[in-house]
Amino acid sequence: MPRAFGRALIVLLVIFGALIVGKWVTTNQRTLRQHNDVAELPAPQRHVKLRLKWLYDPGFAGEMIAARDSLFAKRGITVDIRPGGFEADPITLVASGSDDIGVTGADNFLFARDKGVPIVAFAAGYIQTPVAYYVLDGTPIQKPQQFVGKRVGYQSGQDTGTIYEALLRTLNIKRENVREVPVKYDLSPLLTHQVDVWPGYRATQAYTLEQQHLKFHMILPETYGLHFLGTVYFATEKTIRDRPAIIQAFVDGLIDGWQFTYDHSDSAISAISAFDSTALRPALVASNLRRQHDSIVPPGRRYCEFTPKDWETTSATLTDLGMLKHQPDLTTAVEYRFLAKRYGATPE
Amino acid sequence: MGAISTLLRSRHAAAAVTLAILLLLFFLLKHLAKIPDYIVPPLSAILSEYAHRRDYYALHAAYTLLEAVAGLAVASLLGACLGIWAGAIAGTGSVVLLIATAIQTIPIVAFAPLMIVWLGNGTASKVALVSVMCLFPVVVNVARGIRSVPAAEKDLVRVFGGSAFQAFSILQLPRGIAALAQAVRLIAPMAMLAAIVAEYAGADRGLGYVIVQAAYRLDTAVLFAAVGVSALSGVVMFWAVKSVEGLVRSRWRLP
Repeated sequence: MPRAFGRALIVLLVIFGALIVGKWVTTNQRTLRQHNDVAELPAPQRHVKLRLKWLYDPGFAGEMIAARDSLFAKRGITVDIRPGGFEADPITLVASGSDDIGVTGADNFLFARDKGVPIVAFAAGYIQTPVAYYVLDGTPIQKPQQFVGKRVGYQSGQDTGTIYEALLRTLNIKRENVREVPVKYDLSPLLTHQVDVWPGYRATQAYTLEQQHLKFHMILPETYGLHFLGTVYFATEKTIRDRPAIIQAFVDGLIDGWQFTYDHSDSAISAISAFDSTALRPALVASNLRRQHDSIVPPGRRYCEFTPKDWETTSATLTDLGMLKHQPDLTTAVEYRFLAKRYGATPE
Repeated sequence: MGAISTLLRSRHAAAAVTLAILLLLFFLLKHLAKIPDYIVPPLSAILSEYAHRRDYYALHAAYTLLEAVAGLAVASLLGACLGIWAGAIAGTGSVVLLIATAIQTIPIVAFAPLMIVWLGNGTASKVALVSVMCLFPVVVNVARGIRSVPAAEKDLVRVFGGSAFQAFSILQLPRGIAALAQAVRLIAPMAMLAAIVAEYAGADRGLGYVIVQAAYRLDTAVLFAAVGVSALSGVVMFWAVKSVEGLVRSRWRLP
């Protein structure tokens, strides 16, 4: 037995040694390839891999329109838009180098920075979080203070859960006074009255409920003074440092895409639907674009332009909830120069 | 050297030592390959996380174990009944097997929302999901056990004046019970996995809940600690069920 054990140990050591050598070889090859890519491509030609936070959705209309209507190409880059999902986390994919740019929630971004992931945010998607809490008409809940004693759906591990906790904290409502019901993405508990309040997003569930001919109202966090960044576009520190021209071209094309989306809704709707004709029916796209507008660009704001105050309030909220171990260094986590160049001034 | 040699000859000690070496090699590879801590945390961080919050992990593991054990019990009872039916009654038995096969192929993530609608978001839906996932191996194994008795042996009972029921109870049922015990031992770790997957669909406690929260916050040390605890719980379940199986076999002198 001990002899066989020793042989097994030697085999294991050989296998691991081979893995280590293989990793070293591929790392060095990748480094060489990156160097050659930069040298080979002419300045205006760049190929960018963009990883979305989720599947194709009107919430990513800016980049989808920019890609389809050649708004990125006009800036000298091509963008390969890759849908996200459960198995495709933008942060790990961008940090590992599989993708160049990602879209993620501001909360996810700050958690990643807190853990030392070397990523930098350079533009906003949703400037205000699109999180909303749905209540069917007929249920006597009009404001968060009325959550007390009621059944409120709670999605752990989601921004809806984080915003809910922040909302209660802002309004001094004790969580133990609310009957929290753990839910996931399926609306059935709301439709079957197992919960009184459903955590969702102001565009997505609204369309579904309308299709069911159900009347509802939404409780929005900003109504109660809770301002929280929604989604952000980010890249690694290395990409920002080594390929700023690409990032600038991306930001410019992205903003053009959002402007086109809302200035030419009819064309935008059909272009977005073309990404997935089954899931993105024109009626759904139209409804979502309309409902999400004030989250994408709140009154008085400009597309994709987050400000230091947005980041301060968002990170303060997460810190107050005990979700961040360290106070984030927003001077290195966020890059404003690309927006400043586009809009001619640094965001305030 | 003699003592070490004796120790290494022990199966369990050799398994534990091998596992420990594999873990050390894994983390050595992480260090050498410079895999960032946010992808794979250092072993010290994982152990420290577990050590500082032992009660937290124990509590959530207990909830998940409760769901797994309850689900396993339901699957065993229901699976035994259906397996006996499938094995003993030729005509409708095939239909039972067909339905069990169909249920097995439905992904649990498709079942989960239905269970929640029917049974609510509490423990009942989790137990039901575990039962569904564990049912098919029990049904198939028990049916096979029941059918494994050669026709000649059954005929022998009839020759000596026994009834069909006596042939069933003397020959087929013990084999069915033995097959049930074997099936339960094999699916015990699956029950743990099923309970965790069920918690992904919506839970406020359990190891699945801990894993979801940790993944959201990119808290990889917590993630690895929770995964480690769930693996350990699965092993404990396996050995517990194996011990019970041994007792049952010796008590009832099963084949």
